[in-house]
Amino acid sequence: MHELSLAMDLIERAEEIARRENAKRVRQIEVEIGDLSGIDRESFAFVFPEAASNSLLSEALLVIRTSSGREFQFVSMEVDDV
Amino acid sequence: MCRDCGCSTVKHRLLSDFNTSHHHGPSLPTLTLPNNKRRISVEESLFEKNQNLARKNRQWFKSQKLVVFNVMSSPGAGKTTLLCKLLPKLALDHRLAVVVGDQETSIDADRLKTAGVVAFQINTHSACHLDAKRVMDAVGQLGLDQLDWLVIENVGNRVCPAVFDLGENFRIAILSTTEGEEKPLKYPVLFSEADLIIISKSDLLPHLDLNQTTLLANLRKMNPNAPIITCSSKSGEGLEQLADELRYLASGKETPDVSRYANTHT
Repeated sequence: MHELSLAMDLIERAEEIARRENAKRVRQIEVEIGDLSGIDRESFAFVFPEAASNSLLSEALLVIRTSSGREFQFVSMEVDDV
Repeated sequence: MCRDCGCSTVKHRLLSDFNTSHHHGPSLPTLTLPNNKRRISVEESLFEKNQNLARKNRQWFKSQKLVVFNVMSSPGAGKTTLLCKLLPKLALDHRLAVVVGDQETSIDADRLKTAGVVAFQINTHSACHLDAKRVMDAVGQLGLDQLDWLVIENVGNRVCPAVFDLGENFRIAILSTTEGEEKPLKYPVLFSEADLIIISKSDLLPHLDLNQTTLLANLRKMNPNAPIITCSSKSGEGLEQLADELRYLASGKETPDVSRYANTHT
């Protein structure tokens, strides 16, 4: 169950970028998780809301893009200023 | 390839809607959306945090001329028993130490110490694997300049440890004969990334229905090149061959290509 610690790394990185880009909230976040990444997509989606609580991502929708390789990539995020 | 820095992120160059600021700078490519929203293109590996620390470990180990092995398997495959049998012999001509990870207790480190090996226990508590930071913290207390080899016995788990680079030179995957023929197919990351594969508990073969031909074929499907050694900590079968293989790997005749690790994939 390393999904929680990886989800927390994602939240930390997303908040860092959001603050740097002067965003107030993250509305949607997209990650790519490959079949050989060693990360279970369902587990990741399950722990994400817990990792995101009390952060700029507390209301963010998680979008997981699938691929066949080893990718575990922070693709993009949608932010707003209000 | 990106024309700005040579990175392989093709996507951000092709999306002409994005503004021109480069993604490595303070401002990332951003697309303006309706309702005051913006889409920020990030495109970075989330293994990067562990990977940066693993890279530091690798440089540090190299500066100390230390050869590092990361031993991984399911719980109960016989990692500690094998190391207790194997390492005292290798310790005659190499200064070596073991760092062993478990969720709780120092049972494994105590067993290794009883066998005459320098050992240091890491307790990961809730975590299911060792990561580069935990290894860095532990080896800081070991006095690396006194060592030739460091053996990291990872937490018993076929899944998670395989994903986290620790900065090691060589990955060793152990599969015991009781685990059956299909595990290499079911847990592809561990076996495909290994530099050496050990089939342990060969003394049990007469009591099992294991089809060794199928097992070897499945291992080869996942990993065409790594040496595969069958051994038994109980009977001693294969232990000499295994010791020779470790000496050969550590001699530097095989230069591992660290770019093959899952975590370094970009």
